[in-house]
Amino acid sequence: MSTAVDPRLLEILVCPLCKGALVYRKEAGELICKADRLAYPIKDGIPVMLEDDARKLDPAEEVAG
Amino acid sequence: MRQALGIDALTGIYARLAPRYDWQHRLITFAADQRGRKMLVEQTVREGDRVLDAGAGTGATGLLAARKAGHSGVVTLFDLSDDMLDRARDKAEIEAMDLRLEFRSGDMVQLPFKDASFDVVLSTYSLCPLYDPAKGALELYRVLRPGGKLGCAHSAEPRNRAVKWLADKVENIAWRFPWLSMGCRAVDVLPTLQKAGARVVLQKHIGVPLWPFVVFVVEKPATP
Repeated sequence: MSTAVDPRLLEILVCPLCKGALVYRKEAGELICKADRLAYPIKDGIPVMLEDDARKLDPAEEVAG
Repeated sequence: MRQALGIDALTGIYARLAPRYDWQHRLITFAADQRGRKMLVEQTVREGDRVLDAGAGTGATGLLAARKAGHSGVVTLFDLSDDMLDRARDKAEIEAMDLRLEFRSGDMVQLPFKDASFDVVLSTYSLCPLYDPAKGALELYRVLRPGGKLGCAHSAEPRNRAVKWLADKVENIAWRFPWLSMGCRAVDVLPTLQKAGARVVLQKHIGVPLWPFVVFVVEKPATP
């Protein structure tokens, strides 16, 4: 069974709010929506795609990718 | 239709329910729930399919689907409750399932998937507690590829008026105990899906008279 977050993660996963593409930040364990400036956490290998659980990006925070 | 419970309330209920969900749901439905799951997986999943189990909970349906999709398939188990998904993950590990499973957490009314991502989408008893079941059903339909199949099982209102009256009284009592009702109520989403262009390929009524379920499979036309 494979439960690790792998590179194919972003193949079909999008922001639940705007349905736009996400940027995977492996080191922070987060999936970023640049349009909504939200960082969705990956907890124990499970991406949590809820607005209420997402971290709001700091206004100065740059997102590459 | 009863007012749905909020996301926070549902998360709390299912966190507590997770360890006993399988047997409690089976008991309450007189095991009709399993029949619904098997029927839908049988009718929809083929080897190699990319499957979404939306509201997968403890994986009762998703793990069945994974066995049928085989090593060339992949099943995404999606649920609001991390605790329920943890149970699903434990079950898959205990059963040593060497199959491709993915776990995602979120709200079924706002699915985090691209349009047309899946060959098969399944929802077993997960539309009933949603705050907007029709919108949830349309989300399931959106992520289904043209030519793909959507299979749902959900609570429905008894068709007999006297039984419906009695069921309503029983539900009023159950509704006071969220751990018992699990936030589930009778819903009706098929007309919404048909309006969106879905073609019905199977529709069955199962369950017991006081607690009936509708099981259906719709197909998304290959060309709109």
